[in-house]
Amino acid sequence: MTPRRAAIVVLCWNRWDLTRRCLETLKAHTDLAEADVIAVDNGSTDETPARLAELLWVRVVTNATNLGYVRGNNAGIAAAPADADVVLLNNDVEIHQDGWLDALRETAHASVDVGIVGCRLVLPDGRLLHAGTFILPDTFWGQQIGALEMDVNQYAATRDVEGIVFACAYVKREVLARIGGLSEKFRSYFEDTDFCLRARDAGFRTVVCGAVTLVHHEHGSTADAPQTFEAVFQESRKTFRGLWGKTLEARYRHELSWQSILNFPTGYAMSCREILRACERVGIRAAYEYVYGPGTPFPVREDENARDYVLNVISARKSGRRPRASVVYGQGDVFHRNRGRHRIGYTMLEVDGFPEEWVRQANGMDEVWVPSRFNRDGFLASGLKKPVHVMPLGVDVDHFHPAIRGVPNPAGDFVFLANFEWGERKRADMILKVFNQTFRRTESVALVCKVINVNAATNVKAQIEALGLSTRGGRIAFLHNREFPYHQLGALYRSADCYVSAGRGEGWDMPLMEAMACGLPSIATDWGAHTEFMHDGISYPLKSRGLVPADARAPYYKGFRWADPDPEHLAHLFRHVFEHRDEAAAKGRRAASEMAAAWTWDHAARRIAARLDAIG
Amino acid sequence: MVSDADELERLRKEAAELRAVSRELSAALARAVATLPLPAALALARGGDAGADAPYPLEPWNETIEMTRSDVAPEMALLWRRLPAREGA
Repeated sequence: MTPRRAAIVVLCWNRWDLTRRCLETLKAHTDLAEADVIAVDNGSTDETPARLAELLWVRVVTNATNLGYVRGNNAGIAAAPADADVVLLNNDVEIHQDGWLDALRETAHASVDVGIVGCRLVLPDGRLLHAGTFILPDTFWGQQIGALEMDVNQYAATRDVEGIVFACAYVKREVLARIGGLSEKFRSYFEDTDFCLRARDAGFRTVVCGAVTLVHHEHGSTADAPQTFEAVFQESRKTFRGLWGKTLEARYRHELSWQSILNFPTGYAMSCREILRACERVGIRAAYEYVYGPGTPFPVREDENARDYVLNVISARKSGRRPRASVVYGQGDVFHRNRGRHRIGYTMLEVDGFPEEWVRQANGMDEVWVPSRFNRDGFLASGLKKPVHVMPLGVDVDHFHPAIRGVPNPAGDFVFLANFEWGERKRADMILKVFNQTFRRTESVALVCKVINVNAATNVKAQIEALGLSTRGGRIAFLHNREFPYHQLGALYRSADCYVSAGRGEGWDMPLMEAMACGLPSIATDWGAHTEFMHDGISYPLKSRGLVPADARAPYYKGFRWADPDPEHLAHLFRHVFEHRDEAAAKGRRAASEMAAAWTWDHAARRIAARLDAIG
Repeated sequence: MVSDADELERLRKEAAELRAVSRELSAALARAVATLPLPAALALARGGDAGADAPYPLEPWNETIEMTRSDVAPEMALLWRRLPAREGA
């Protein structure tokens, strides 16, 4: 079938330097046999009119004065062939990717209900600027997804979004036929989200095609006039609020009080951040409150700044004195701080039972949530009498997927990766010794250990030296106390070939899940909460020799048991994976597919929504 | 009279300032190590207590003052340079 023709509308107002780069890169990377280029000169007073007149491949529409962004673009849309799709392209965008237009067009025509297609935008310095937009009704302040993250090819899939910035917007003719052009209630700003919401009301989806990345010199045309920018922006914001306020408020189906921990480098905090963001996406209006602090087992005050816009908004919300439903997400000895009318305690643990105090407090809840059947069984065996629901956690497949750009070993060594906090539970000693003994220094294989140690009394270096590792054995490299921005962590996994998690017990094992989502084969102990999502079709389960007393510093483990991972089997699996790379890679690919299909944070949040529906 | 709350607040502020200074020093050290020639970076990373007699010399070790936030790509590039060479390669 002949692809539908597209008219690319480039709005220009002075700044010929930007327009020249835009058009040059557009011509270099676009098949112009299937596209028209329309430059709308919005009353430029510099050399733009004269220069545009020299470009015979560009059709020029001239406005006598600057009509603003909206009316300027509408002039371009009106000039486009009546049967063509339209691409709105800012003149401060550069194109460095062949096939960009084809990819946008294919995405737009992959389904009849796709109406608008955007793309990833990056800044000239390589940081991601945009992978879609959303506006929270708390503030009516537009947010660009992924903004200012270092670009590691996150958000590479095609995803549904609320809106996109129209620096590059592929709009199907069907949408224009139904809703017309940009709303002239706006001069600039918010017209793009307004257009996407009007399209949604008309039955069209807005998506971001993650396979296309363009460079955007943001605010190129107004960068020199901040007062103008501010005035126009605030006027449009007010207009937008009046038009869409009720619609945005109506996105919430549930209210939920969420008492937890957010701004510390702990597993609960990291997962709490993801849960709250996902709740927002699936229509749960959560209000966050710190559950620890003075009078609790963790008597430290929490920084109020989450350094994340959405989380700060959720933290600023008030849930009232007795919210209808409240979740305490944390250790079971803070369940008693739950303030809800329907009280839910949500927790996990790495051993085969739960401490008496946790069970006592859990029995004071209306219901208990745990992420795994492993923990459900442990809770029930420890005396839990209240209803318990398995509510698995998830993984962020926008930041953890197989197309994330890693930094592969330049020597081509096969790389095993372990990522853990130093301590008895993770069996670092066993992993290092077994790896060092299994391989020889002559072999093209290495182990990278990303080790975190927060205990000043523990000398990790001395403990490693005490292991007596052989210089002739397998080579090991350490990343000690290196904390990476979470959005870049996928690049660490994608720098390796196989992930190793040979610990004694897990409450969930988020790093394992992240590695699997990145498409890595994995070796993981076949005991613990992670068996909820890990199995031998997508991983290499490591045998346990049985259960042993959970001797560690954590007081919560006292009297319980955990696994005794088998070092001989670990040696076998190390060697097997190294020698069967194709088989391992296939498992890794299946793991990534399974994580994306069933284990995302949105899946987790939708389960919460379903549970709230049932609670009523 | 200075109340406990005032004193606590003063200490909290002081601790926050010290942590900030410590983080700045860690970040500066990490930046410096990243720009050093490999032998100098390794010498700095080893410190004075991991001599040639250690059973496993920990060439790939990279000590830090406290947890340091850094970008993955330069960190991994440095890590691959620090990985002991394969024997016979």
